[in-house]
Amino acid sequence: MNWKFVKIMSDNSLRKITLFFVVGFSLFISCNNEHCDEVINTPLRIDLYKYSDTSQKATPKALIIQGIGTDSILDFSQESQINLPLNKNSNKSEYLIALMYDKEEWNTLKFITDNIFVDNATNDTLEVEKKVGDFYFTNGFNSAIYLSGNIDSVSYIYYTPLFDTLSIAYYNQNEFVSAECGCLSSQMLLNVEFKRDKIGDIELLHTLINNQNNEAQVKVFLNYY
Amino acid sequence: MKLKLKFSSIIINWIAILILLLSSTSLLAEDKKKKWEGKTFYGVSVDLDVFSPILHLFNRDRLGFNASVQADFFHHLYPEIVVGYDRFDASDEYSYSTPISGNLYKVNGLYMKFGAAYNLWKKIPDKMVLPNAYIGVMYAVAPKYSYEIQNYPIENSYWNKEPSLFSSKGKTTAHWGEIFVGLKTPIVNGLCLGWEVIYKLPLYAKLQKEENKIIHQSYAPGYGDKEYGKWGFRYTISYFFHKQNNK
Repeated sequence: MNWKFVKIMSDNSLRKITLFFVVGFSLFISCNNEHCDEVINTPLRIDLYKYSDTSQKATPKALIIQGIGTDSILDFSQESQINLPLNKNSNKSEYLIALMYDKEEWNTLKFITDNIFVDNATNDTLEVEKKVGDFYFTNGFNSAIYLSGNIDSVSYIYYTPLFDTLSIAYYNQNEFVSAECGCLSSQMLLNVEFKRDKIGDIELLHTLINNQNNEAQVKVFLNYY
Repeated sequence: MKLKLKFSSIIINWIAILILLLSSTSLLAEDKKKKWEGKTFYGVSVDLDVFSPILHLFNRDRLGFNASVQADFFHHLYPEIVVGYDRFDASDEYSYSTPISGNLYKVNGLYMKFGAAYNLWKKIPDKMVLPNAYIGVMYAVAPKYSYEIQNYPIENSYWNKEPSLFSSKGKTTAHWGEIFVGLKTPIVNGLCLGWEVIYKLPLYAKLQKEENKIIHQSYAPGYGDKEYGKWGFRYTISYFFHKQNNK
């Protein structure tokens, strides 16, 4: 190293360059801060509206949904939007829906045990297979009563909820997003329909389900609202 | 918390750029009155980066080598070609959910960079090898580099207890630009030592599309991590092959 260069480097510029080097190196170390900012799981979003006034959102008194093929039940009671996880291993997801709306026809029953009750009107004895919230299922997911408080010390009021099957067809696309986040799955909706047409009418708003879009893809206009 | 980290990282970046500009401005001012004089072509230097192999000693998940050839025109302008190889294993970075044993993301391949540097330091026309403080730009490409992705879970917990797994293997190409500053100084005759700080512009890596699959790349050889690898370093050992001095 010649003397001239040493002299140049010994002035203030050396300090600046050293500082820059230190800042730069610490940047290099500190910038390796890995984390995932992506939303990996995006459900199908369905907004519930009143059939009688299509601008008004509907909030069912009780609404529960079970994916056909699973044991897991989702409770969307008192909500005006439902978020359904689609099956990413299939191009079709089907859900059983039990809906309780405010209606006037009601019956009464008596519980013999916690799991067995007698219908006061017909004298039929029924066994409860599963209880979800105030829904008492007696025959899989196809038959249930909705219990709504007691009328006296022995009799309870119950309603018969509406049942329907929601069928959703779609195209899956899996995406490797990054080393930190791994994979996400997005869907292109092909068809959404109720099998029994009891609950309501469907309007498809958007066909794409991914983490870039937080809006509902489907509107359902509930018949009894 | 993440936002704060990002914000402080941006502030630090800007401070670094500011210091860099201050240094280069003072150096430029010194050199303002000098004309481009002396020889047109002084020779060629071959640089070997030692930073990447050293980094491998601290981080076994990355391995890299690169070397460059730089021509010296007028002691001002230094066109340069860099050729390198990188291998990354980013399997451990998966942080979205509990890593499944056996998930793997590996990238490896060659890259090339083409560009030029401008010397901001004093130019002494009759000297063949000079201390050199430079700023420059590069275009970089990693052509057809290999990637391998294995066993990344696709979350489907409502329907299945076990998630299905995503795997893919193939080749893709990435491009990016770089701005760099550096210092290089002769030690003995034509042997020089130097360091270089590189700021990488955003990476463009070609999306790979397969049936029902899209693959974004997090890494590219020569670039590193797309999100967190914007800064790079080179420590170089160089030899300057100078053209016979006629003066």
